[in-house]
Parts: sequence; structure tokens; C-alpha cells
Amino acid sequence: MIATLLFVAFLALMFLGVPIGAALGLAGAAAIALANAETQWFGLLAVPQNFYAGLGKYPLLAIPMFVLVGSIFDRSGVALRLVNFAISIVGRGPGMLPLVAICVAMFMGGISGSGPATAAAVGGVMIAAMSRAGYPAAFSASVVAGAAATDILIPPSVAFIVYSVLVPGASVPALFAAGMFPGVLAGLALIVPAVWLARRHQMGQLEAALSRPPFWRSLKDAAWGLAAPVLILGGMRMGWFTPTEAAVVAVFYGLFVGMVVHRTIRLRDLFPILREAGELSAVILVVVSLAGIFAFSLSTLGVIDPVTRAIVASGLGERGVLALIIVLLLVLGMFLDGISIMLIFVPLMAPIMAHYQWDVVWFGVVLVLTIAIGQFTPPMAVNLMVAAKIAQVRMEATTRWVIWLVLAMCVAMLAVVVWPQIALWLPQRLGY
Amino acid sequence: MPSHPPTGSPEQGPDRRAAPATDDAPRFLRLEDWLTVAAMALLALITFANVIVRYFSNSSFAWTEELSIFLMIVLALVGGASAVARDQHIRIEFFCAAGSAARRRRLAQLGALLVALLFALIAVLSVRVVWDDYRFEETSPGIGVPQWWYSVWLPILSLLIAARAVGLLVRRTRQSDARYLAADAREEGPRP
Amino acid sequence: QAPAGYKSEYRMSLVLGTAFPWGKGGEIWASKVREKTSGRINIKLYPGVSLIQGDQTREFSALRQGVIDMAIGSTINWSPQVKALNLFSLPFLFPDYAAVDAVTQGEVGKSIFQTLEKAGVVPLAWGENGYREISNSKHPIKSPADLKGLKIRVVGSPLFLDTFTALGANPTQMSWADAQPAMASGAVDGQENPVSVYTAAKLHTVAQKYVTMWGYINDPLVFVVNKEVWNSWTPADREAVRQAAIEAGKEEIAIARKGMVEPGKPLLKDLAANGVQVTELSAAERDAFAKATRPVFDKWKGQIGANLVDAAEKAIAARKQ
Ligand code: NA
Ligand code: NA
Repeated sequence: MIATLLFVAFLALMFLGVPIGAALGLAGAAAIALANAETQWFGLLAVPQNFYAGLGKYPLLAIPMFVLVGSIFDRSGVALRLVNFAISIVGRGPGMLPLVAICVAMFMGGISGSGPATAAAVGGVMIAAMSRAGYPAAFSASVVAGAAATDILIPPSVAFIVYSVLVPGASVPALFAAGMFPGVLAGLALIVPAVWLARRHQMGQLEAALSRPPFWRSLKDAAWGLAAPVLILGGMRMGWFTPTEAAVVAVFYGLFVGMVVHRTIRLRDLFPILREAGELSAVILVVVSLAGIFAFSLSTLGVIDPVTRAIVASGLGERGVLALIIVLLLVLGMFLDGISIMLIFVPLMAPIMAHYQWDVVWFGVVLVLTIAIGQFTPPMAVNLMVAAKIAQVRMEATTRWVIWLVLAMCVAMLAVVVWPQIALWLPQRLGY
Repeated sequence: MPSHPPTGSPEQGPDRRAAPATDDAPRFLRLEDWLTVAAMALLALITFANVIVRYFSNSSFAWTEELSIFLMIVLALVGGASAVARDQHIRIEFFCAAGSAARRRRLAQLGALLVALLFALIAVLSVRVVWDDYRFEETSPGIGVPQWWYSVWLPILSLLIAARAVGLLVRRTRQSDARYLAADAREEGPRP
Repeated sequence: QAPAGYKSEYRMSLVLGTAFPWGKGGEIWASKVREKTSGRINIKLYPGVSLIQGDQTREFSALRQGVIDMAIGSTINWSPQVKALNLFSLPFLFPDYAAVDAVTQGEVGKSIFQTLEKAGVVPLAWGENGYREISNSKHPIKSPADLKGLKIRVVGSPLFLDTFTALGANPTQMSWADAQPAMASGAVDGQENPVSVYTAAKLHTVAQKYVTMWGYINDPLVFVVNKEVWNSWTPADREAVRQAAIEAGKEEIAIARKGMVEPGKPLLKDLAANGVQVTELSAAERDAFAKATRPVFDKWKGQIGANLVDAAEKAIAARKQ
């Protein structure tokens, strides 16, 4: 009864446009008060305790730091130089710029931990360049939004950090390693429709007339950016630093590159960079902590076990349940942001994972893949929002292009579902 | 995977936050902004110093973990407060974005009211947590200082968030429907 | 049929699950309570301190405030709230299991229970997480000199940091989640935990090849109930819960010590079978560690209460071997 109220209240508040954190916190608090009417203070002391404890976890510190990395690299001038370097390799021709956009976004994914930051960094450079070459703005925005979604799969990734906090059995290094190949696979999958659409619709006709940057000079210019993922991922692999520390090392590296080498960041830019990254992180962290209140009522009301039993006994079978979960996640991803999806559904799915003995790292990768798809599936799509803003187009105008990219990434996800080794080979190889 | 687009790239056009303040824009966010920036900078510097010290002097400041967690909580709350004032918190707009301006404005008021309510509740309840920390002389697990030095900020900053939500509610109430729509359109970005 | 004022389910907080002696103790306590109260008191286990998002150090406050109804808690985790519990973390206080029993089951144990009652909970019985042993990836540790410069992941508490600093090691505080990959990559060299945790976490697979059985501290567990919950029960049910706790505590301690008290210490053979080099210390070798950490012992004796520490030392000296 109270459990029903918990869900109904949460869903109602959410659809009324109440901030998701507040919906989680209020529904959770109401359920706690009703279920503990005889305890002191209606058992509501669980609210501040869980709010505080939900936040007070050292691994979460990696979130503000990786968001800051995104903000800094967004302005460091690295994306522009990577784009020039990529063009100097693949050359000019129909469909080449979308290819470059995707590859550079994947590479930036090895530095940044969040999709929208990459969409802003790559979009800022690529959308204008693609426009000059004659690609429609809506198409460019779609490609950038999809490509930036690979960012939360390719390590480092804020999404994996949140997942590892929710699932103690999945360590951050194992998840980071497991995200690598699925992330690259997703990027490669995007290239197919992007290039095909460009050629079919004869986009970028002006591109061939544009100059091709010289290889060696582009390489020299791009060297600082090329070294960044080596430092971040290599440093973690070598045990020089923990994921949180890796983020901070990347922050100072990015500041050095932006302020000293490329001189795109001035001293007075630091305040807005820190403020913006700080507020963005706070928005995530507040949802994480308020979800702690929701999780407390969820676990104490004893709804998870019966729901799990019902699902397991539903006769769908293991594959049916998995398919159902994926479809559900994809639909949710259309409307809901990824962090909220994880905070609400991982506690519900943990017993199902345990029942079918699914590998928690593999499941984390599949989950993050669906979230990545949601980041550029309209109507609510953070990456697409950023890219459309840069391209100065309405988000609705991108739908006809973006749908192909969504399908392509769904195929990549199915591959990871069918062949878990795509995700699990690397962490096993590295001994995590 | 933050859910709000980072702003401020030169290519992104005019940033609405940089737009001249109107009477329906939040004011006096300087305190929150400075605290957010200070918390971010300190977090980065402390962690970086840890890496440096560990690799060059073979010792570590083990005590910094507790301090970093505290700074992160401060960051979440002060950044949360300015995000409330700027109406940046994650919410599903798709279903409530339809309908008349009056209806949309009323839903926005409801959202602000509920945020105020929740954080007022957290503020009141966490006073009891602080009081227990104080009267039972709890010490922090890492450094061993009185726990209430940390926990006392929870009710204070929760109250700040509640106050910012009330401010947003007041602004949404005073705004005319036309103003609300204009501000809303600005938030959704340029439309050719 | 449960009397009025009884909850349909009581929430028991634990740090470790039923794969460990700790969690088994919780399971045994819960089932004995159900049996002895004919189902009037029904307990659900929440391992991983999941009632407060895994934050072990807030468990005691949450227990006092009714967020948690009952718990089996570690003296280490509760020491921020109850300073006397630091007694058990004083380095090299307990030479053997008999010493631990002399303290917990004797007058000192009673006095600590009184302190716990003053702190707002109802303590019922003692259990045991175990002696904490040190492991590392570099070399066998036989003397304090072997610890010099080693990066050891420790529980984040001032007393632990003091102890390891006094031994010349480099104590590093990190969450358990961070610690395992840090050991695998060599970011930290070692850790200290009961052998049951070492085995369950398969630490030999993350390069922890050298284990020294130095038993520098013992971590007893305490079975407690929230005061309001306790008062809501009938006297007969309270007695039933207390008896259940005492019996479960005894059984749990036996499980925790399994493999270490039998002749030949079979647990150490199991460890060695995984390619782990186990080092046992002679009395003289152990004394060298005790001597090195004596300043820490003396410093903390004042903070814990000199009378309590003296009483504990007296009880240990008088123990039956
Ligand atoms: Na990434
Ligand atoms: Na979406």
C-alpha cells in the first residue's frame, strides 16, 4: 500500500515537472513517515541521515572533477587541433567531416567524463566547419550529439562512477576498462549511417574545395591533446593515481594546455569555468543524495523482493527479462536523464542481476549504453540539446537524421548483449 | 553525464546567464557562486597536492579524505542553491511543457514550492542530527574533531536552498504569463 | 499474534553479509529471536550498512535515532561516538583470544556496556570480527623495520593513523572499493583486516602475497537494540532477545575463530595453499612491534580513560590460559 504510494507520488511529481531529486526525496520521506508512524519523529531522521550518507562517499568526488575536466577541455582548444589533425589524415571528400567529428568525439571521450561537455567541445568546432562544407546544420548536430554519447562509455566516465557507487561489486577500474571496446564499437557503428546519409543526400559538396591541413604541423599542434588520454588512462592503469586523482591530474594538464600552450583560457576565465562545473556537479550530486532517501524507503518497504520474484516467475525467461529491461531502459532514456535512471533502477535490478547471475560489470556497460542512446534520443536528449543550440536549429529538425544514428547504436548495444566478451575481455585481461 | 548543457562556449551564442538582469532574474548569487568556486578549487588543489606529495615525499595526508568529502557536501548544497535560483535542476519538462502559459507557470510554482518544502524539512530534521552530534560529543571518524563542526552546515545550507526556492516561487508568482513564456523561450535556446 | 506497539519487521544493520562470521551471527540472532518469541519479533537483515547508504561511521547515530532498530556493530566503527570502544584498537593490547574474553566477558565488558547504555542504546552481547592481520605485496613483515615506507591502506581513524605512523609505515586512507584496485595496481602496498575478509575478498589475487599474523588489534562486535524498540517489548520478549543475542554471540565467536584455535591452525594452511607466505611471530618479535607503538598506546590511554585501560590490562594479566 505504502509502496504503491511511494511510486505513484514519485511518478506524479516527476510528470508535473518537479525537479527529480525533490520528487525522489519527497516521495521517499512521505513513505518513511507513513511506514514508521510509531517510531520517534515518524522515523524521519532517516531523511537527513541518508541525505548526508548518500553524499559522503569519497568515490563520488570523481564526479565534480571529471565534470571540471570536461569544462576545461571544452575551452582548451584541443578539439580544434584534433579536428585539423584528423582531416590531415583522412583528407577531404564527401562524408569525411562526419567521420572526423565522430572520431574526434571518441578521442575527447578518453579525456572527458560527460557527454554534453564533449558535445559542446566537438560541436563548437565541427558544426561550423561542416556548415562551411555544405552539410545541413540539423545533420551536423545529430552526428555530434550521437558521437558525444560514446563519451560516457569510453573511460573516464561519470556514469560508471555512479554505477560503481550503487553496485559495490563493480569497481571503477573494471568498469572503465569494460567500457572501452563497447564505446569504440558504438562510435564505429555511428560512422556507417553518418557517412551513408552524407553520400546519399550529397551533403558536403563544398568540402573537396577546402584546403587539407599539412600532416606534420597538425600532428605537432595536436600533440598536447593526443597525449591527454594517454596520461589519464595510462596513469590509472599504471597505478600512479586513483580515478579521482586521474581527474584532477587531467584538470591541471588541461589548464596548462589551455592557459600556457594554446592560450585559449585566460586567468579570468577560471571563475566561470569553476562556477559552471561546480553548479553542474551540484545538480548531479543533489539527485544522488536525495535518491538515498528514496532508496531507503524502497529497501525498508520490502517491495524489491516481491517484484523480483514476480518478474522471475513471470515465465519470460532470462532472455525475455533482459529484453524487457533493455526496452524499458530505452523508453525511459527518451524522457529521463541517465543519472536518475541509474539511481532509481539499479536498486530495483540488483536482485534480478543476482538471480540470473549476470556479470555486474557487463550489466553496467549495457545500462550505460542504453543511457548513452538516451542522451541523443528525442524528446529529452541532453547532447542533442547542446548540439542543436550550437547549430541554431530546433531539436525537432534533427529527428529525421538522428533516428538512423539511434538505430546504429542500438545494434552496437545488441552486440554487447549477445557477446559480453566485447565488454569483459579487457578488464579480465588487465586483471580487474 | 550532467544533464544540463555546459554554457559559455563562444560558439554557443549569447549565454542567457550573462543576459542583463531583469526583475525576474535571481539576484545576489555572489555568495553561492564564490563558495562553489572556492569548493571546486580547493577540492582540485587538495587532491592534486595529495598526488604530488605521495609521489615525491613517500608520505600522504590521510586526513584530507574527510575534508574533501566535507567540501563536496558544501559544493552540492551551495551549488544546489544557486541551481535552484537559476532553475537548473534536472526535471522532465516534456509533459508539463504543454498547455496554457498559466498552467505551465502554476506547475513551475508547484515545483519551487515543493523544493522549498523538502529542504525546509531536511533543515529541521538535521538540527536533531547536529544536536545529537553535539550532546553525545561525537568525533569525526578521520581527523577526530567534533562532528558537529561538519554537520552544523547541513541545516544552514539546506535552509539556504529552501530560501532560494522560495525566491524562485516569488519570482514565478510575480511574473506575468507573457514574461514567464519569454524567459522560458530564452532557456530553450535560439530558434531560427 | 504480536502485542500492540510491535512492528511487523525490525531492521538489523550489519557491515558484512552472511558469507562472513559477522553476517552469520546476524542470521543466527534473527532466527533465534523468531523462535524464542514465537514469531512476535521478526527481523530483516541489512548487510553493507545499507540502511544508511553504506556509511559505517554513522551507523551508531542512526541506531540511536531509530533509523536502525538493532545492529551487530564493530567497536572500530562506533568509536567516533563511544570513545571507550577505542580500547580494542589499542595496538598489541590483546596477546591471545583468552585475553579478549577476559576483557569482554568480565568487568571491563560490563563497564563498556554501561557506557553504551549512557550513549543511548541497549547492548546485549559480544561477538567478534576477529584479529586484524597485516598483508602486503612486497616482502614478509617480521619487524617494524620491514614496515618502513610501505603504503598501507587503513581504516580512516586517528588511532590507526597514529599506530601505523609510529611503525614507520605510510598509512593511506581510502574506501574499501578504491582499495582493491589500488592493491592490484600497486598504488598501495598493503592492508590490515581479519583473515576472513582477506580470504573472502581473495586478496591474494591482488598481489597481497605476504600475510603476517601479528594480531595487533582485535575487533569485537556488539549486539545492540535501539532503546525505544527495547522498551516497546514485553519483559519476557526482552529476555528472549537478550538470550538469543548471548547464544548467537557465542556461536558467532566460534565461527570467527574457526581454523585458528584448532591444533596446527588449519586456516593458515588454507592461506598457504593459495601461494600466500604466512609469517607467524615469536613472542619476542611481537614485543618489538608493541614497543614501537607504546607511545601511541600511552597517548590514547588518556583519551580512552586510564582507569578502563588499567582494568583491561589487569584482567588480561589475570586471564586463565
Ligand atoms: Na569519457
Ligand atoms: Na533521451
